[in-house]
Amino acid sequence: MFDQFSRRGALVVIFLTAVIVGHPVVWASHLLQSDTNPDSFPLSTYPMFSSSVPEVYGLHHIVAVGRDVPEVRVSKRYWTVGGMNQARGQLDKAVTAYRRSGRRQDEVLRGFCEKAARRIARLDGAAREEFAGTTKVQIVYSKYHLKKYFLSKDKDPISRRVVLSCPILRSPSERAGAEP
Amino acid sequence: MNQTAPGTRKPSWLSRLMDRAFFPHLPPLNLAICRIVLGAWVLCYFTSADGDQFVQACTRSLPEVFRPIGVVKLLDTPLTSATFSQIYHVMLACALLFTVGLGHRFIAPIFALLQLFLWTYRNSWGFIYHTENTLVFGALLLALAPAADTWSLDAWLAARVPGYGNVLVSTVHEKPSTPPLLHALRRGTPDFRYGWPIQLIIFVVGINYSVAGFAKIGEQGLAWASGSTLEGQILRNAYWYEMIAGQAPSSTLTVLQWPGWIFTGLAVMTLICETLGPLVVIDRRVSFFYAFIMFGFHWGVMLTMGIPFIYHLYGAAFAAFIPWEEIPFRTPQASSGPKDAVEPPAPGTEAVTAPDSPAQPAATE
Repeated sequence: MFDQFSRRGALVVIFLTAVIVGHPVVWASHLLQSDTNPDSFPLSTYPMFSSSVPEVYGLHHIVAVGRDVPEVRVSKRYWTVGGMNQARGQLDKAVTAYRRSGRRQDEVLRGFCEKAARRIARLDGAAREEFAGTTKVQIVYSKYHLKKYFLSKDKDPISRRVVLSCPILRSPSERAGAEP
Repeated sequence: MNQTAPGTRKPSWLSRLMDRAFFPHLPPLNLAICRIVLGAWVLCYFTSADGDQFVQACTRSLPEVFRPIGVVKLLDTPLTSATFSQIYHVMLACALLFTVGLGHRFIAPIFALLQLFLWTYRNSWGFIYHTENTLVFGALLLALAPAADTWSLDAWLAARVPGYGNVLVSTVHEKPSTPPLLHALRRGTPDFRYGWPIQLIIFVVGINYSVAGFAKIGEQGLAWASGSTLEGQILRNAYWYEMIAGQAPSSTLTVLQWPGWIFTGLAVMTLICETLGPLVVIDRRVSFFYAFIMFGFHWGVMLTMGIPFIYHLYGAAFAAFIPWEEIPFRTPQASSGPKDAVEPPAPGTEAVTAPDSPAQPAATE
């Protein structure tokens, strides 16, 4: 197709391609930050690595907790498939939907929570040891001082809010008791 | 190429600039290498563990998290696993044909559209990755370009099968004048119609970078160059990895110990390289140098943030930037001696341009 174009035709194609791909720059760079201009693919308007990050930063994530045992962070591989950012995006969206619906739309969030609890309950070997003593999976929102977290030994959250929790049912009797 | 005949008007500076930027006379070899690199990358990616993860993300995610974007908005609900698998395998078959350059005029657009669809579908599960935009744009542009006029089965068949070239090869494809294998492996005659698609690919890559660069300026002005935002982004990314994936990349933890002036230097370099991206199209050597810098940039992003722009990390995204036309390959034509020399055309027949000849003026216009 391109081989049939004269130079003038080629220039038109080049111009149109530049406008389509570069429209966020051509138009106005504030579009890149606009909530009314949602990101897409492959024509992206995401402002990659552009915003400043507050020193104290909060995030939804999943932990396993129990009495008298330290909490264990539950990796994304226990509750979803895909990369880290995809997991983070899915969890954020699920929590937002859960909150906006007055906790009625909890299928996705509960799905993550129960999937994680189920997989932890079925663990064996060293992985089982890692989660020993934990009794609940919690979806939480934690705020940390980022620099302190990475550059000092201060690993405690500044604040923590539990959004949803579900039990880890390890034995058949526990599972039978939980069934409706 | 810009010589003017006596009595004709001298081209304006703008015309000369556009010629230099967008209409270099390149052999079909450049497009062919871009096609092979892109196709081979797709085949390697989708037949590796990354491909398995891609399929899992598209078939095993909770249906409730499906948020269609772009072309996938045509779908209301996710595809069934069986349908997805069929599309995926058709794409793999097309990728193989695209790479070997068979039926390029018909197969390549299908391959490119499948790339567009599958990557968009992959990004319709709650998070949009921004790492494969260049791949999809490259596939779409190569699909429309005469990218299988050499180093392809199409070129071999055009010399082997009478009539094949009338339907299945590009209009700029030179008539075969050597044995099929030599014709298929030749460097080819330079033409602006092989040059401008290459420059367009470079231009699009540059624009993609400039969108990212202007987003940074739009958000914070030149204050972004101080480096504190970059440091904060690296910190936040490490935090995401720590909380969601279980552990931050060890290289990131090392980077976080660096003094502030290093982040300032990296931020200044990033802003300059990103915002000026489209301008590198003005000269092939400048683009080559730019590709080197951006290749290093992506490895830097990988080491400091653990974000793998895989298509860039292996250099595949920069195939168009390399001046293949200046690399002295020993083609079979050059090494095979007098036995394979092209016979001169009979008197009265159409003259055929010898392969590997120096740049020729454009045949059309």
